[in-house]
Amino acid sequence: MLYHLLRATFRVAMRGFFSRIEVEGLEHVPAGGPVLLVPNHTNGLLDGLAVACCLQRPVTLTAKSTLAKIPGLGWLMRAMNVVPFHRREDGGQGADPAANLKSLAEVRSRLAGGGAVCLFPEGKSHSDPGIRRFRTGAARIALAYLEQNADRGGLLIVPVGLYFEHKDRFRSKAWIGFGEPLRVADWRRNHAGANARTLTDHLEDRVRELSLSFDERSRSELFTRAADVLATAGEPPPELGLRPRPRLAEQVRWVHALQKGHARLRETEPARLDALARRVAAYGAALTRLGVAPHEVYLKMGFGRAAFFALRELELVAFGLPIALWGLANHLLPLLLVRWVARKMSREQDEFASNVVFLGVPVFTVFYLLQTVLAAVLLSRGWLLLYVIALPYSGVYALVWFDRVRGTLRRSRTYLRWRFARDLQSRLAAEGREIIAEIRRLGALLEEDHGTHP
Amino acid sequence: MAPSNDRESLGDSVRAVAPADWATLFILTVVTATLLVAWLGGAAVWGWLLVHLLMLAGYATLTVAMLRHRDAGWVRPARALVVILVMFGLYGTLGRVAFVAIPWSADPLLDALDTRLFFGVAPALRAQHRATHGTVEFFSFCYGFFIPYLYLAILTGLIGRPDHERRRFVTGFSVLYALSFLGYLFAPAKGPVVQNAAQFTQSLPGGMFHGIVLRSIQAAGGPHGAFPSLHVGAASYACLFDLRYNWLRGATYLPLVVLIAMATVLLRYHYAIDCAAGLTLACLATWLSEGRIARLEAASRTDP
Repeated sequence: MLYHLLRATFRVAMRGFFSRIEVEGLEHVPAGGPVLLVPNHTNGLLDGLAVACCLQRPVTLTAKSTLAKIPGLGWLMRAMNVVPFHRREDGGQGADPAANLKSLAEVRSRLAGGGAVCLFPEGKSHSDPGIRRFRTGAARIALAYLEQNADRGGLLIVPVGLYFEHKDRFRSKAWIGFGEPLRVADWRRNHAGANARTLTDHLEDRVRELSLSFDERSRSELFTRAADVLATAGEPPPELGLRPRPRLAEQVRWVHALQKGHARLRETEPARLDALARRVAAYGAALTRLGVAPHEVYLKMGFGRAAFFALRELELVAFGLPIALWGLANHLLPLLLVRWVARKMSREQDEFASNVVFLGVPVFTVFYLLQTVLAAVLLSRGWLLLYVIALPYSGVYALVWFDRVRGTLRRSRTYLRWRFARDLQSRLAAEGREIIAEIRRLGALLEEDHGTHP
Repeated sequence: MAPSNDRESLGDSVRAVAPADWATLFILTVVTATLLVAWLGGAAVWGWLLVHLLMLAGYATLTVAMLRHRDAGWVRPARALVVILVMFGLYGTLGRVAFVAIPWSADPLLDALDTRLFFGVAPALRAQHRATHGTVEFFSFCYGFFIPYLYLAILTGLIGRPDHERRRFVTGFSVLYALSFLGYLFAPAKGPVVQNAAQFTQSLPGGMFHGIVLRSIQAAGGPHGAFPSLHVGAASYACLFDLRYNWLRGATYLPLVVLIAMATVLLRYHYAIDCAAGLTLACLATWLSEGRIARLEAASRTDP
């Protein structure tokens, strides 16, 4: 009960931090039976929470033991049934690797009970461009389960890819992808004699296929930029406010295709690849300088369309302003407090989002209580009820409204820019389409060679 | 652009009729048939019967034309526009026709239901003690704002949207109005303003906005069409649709929808049960247009 309540609360908090969370592949996680979830680990405590919040079934999370010493977090870990693991490198902070036997037994018992357990084989959260080499813990647990329980319950390992657009930026986007499950008994049958390292490498490959992993940061920028250009398909952007396409999911898929294509053509077409990389980098830099998103290069400039855009956006800005200002007035103080403290507490890039979410829940709860008490003193019962109902509604509204106003301003600025620089828009649109065409031409080469298309 | 295959079976053609067309044809047929029966029974509705018969024939012809040219570019905007025009036309005529064609008034029943549901005093009567000049003006403004809200909702529901969303909007809209008009027709009511006139201790102390509302109601032939409340039904439907497809717009107008519902009761035009029925029909229309009818729509080969 407490687990479900806390998870629901953190779901709200995460929806507050991220402007959009795209989830894919939920059908790969069965509603019951033993499951090991193995995600990449790039955003601290939030990673496990993100996985747990996506699923309906309860998930046993695992975390480093030293976290339990942080006031409040220890209680939360116990309330959410988190299994602590004692890492060797935390020995100086009181971690006791010998106690891991108990933790491992706990994980095995949860699996034997048909539960889902989330383990991070990378061992430690990081901000590297690529996935770190997996440790063998998850594989060893899975193989030990098989030895002890045979195929009772049919243990599955589900690879999970996590991707955060800007993990240290409030109101950024996140993507969570669940991959096809691996039935451990089947794997064992097909890999007789293979050890935990082999299974670990296999899992690492599967998670790599689901998330973004680069050898170096410059590659990450290049491929994501190229993926963004490809995702436009040379088409104008969708209207603001309508259900957006799963943009991050598309980006992840395109990046994988580009990486595969690049790896295959590196030997045969190095000059074309280098030239394309330079073009993409220059194109991306030009768009960044102008503050224009790749889709917006193809913005349609018809007067009627612009007039309707102005009517629709002004309507929302005007009628939404009072609600948004009310929401802002009631939430600005706790929001600024949480962001300030989280910024101070975050030593690494991958700590900010976790700190905001974990601090946000108690801080906003306390502020809501204080505001309600104050309103109870000042207002009659009817107005108090209205105030209490309006508090979360106006808070959520303000977040979305400010996102929308930012989008409207950006789109309007781009429209005016293109209105006064039609040549520039035409040139950029032509260049964007030419980049897409060149990538497709390279893709066609692969198709000829291998019967596949990036 | 070419007409569809002439040898297409009747069954295929029937399946290809869009749900919005079915809803519109259904309500036009019901209204026309009711007027015909009333005319045969001696009611003075010949003029109205002719008007509705022409509307039915016109829409049936349009449906056939849309079926024959189902791929033509004009079909989608024509259907959306004509469905909305027909429904607004019926909104204007039904309130007057129903009282002539149907020999009973639902007012006593609705009043009794409201009284029973709200512990002995109907909400419209209970609210009269809160009707100050300020509240009447404020709620009159909200009541009147329904019209621009509805037109804006229709505009944003039809323009700048993906096709499937536009189709659902038109389908849900037609289903909502068709079902609501059954209430207008078979449960004709004028609302508490007429039914409870003797029980109100004073007239509403309004000003400019209340005056505008009063003049608009009189211009439309006086209070009628109380059950169900289409003020609540249409506003709720537009809001529910936006909450699903354009969350911010839905959330922006959610308070307005609540205020419109309160205004209809405070200004004495509707019983609370009318508002509940309007909201229920809005939910039903949303559910149908999203679920079962959406599947039917996908199965049909026309594109509203």
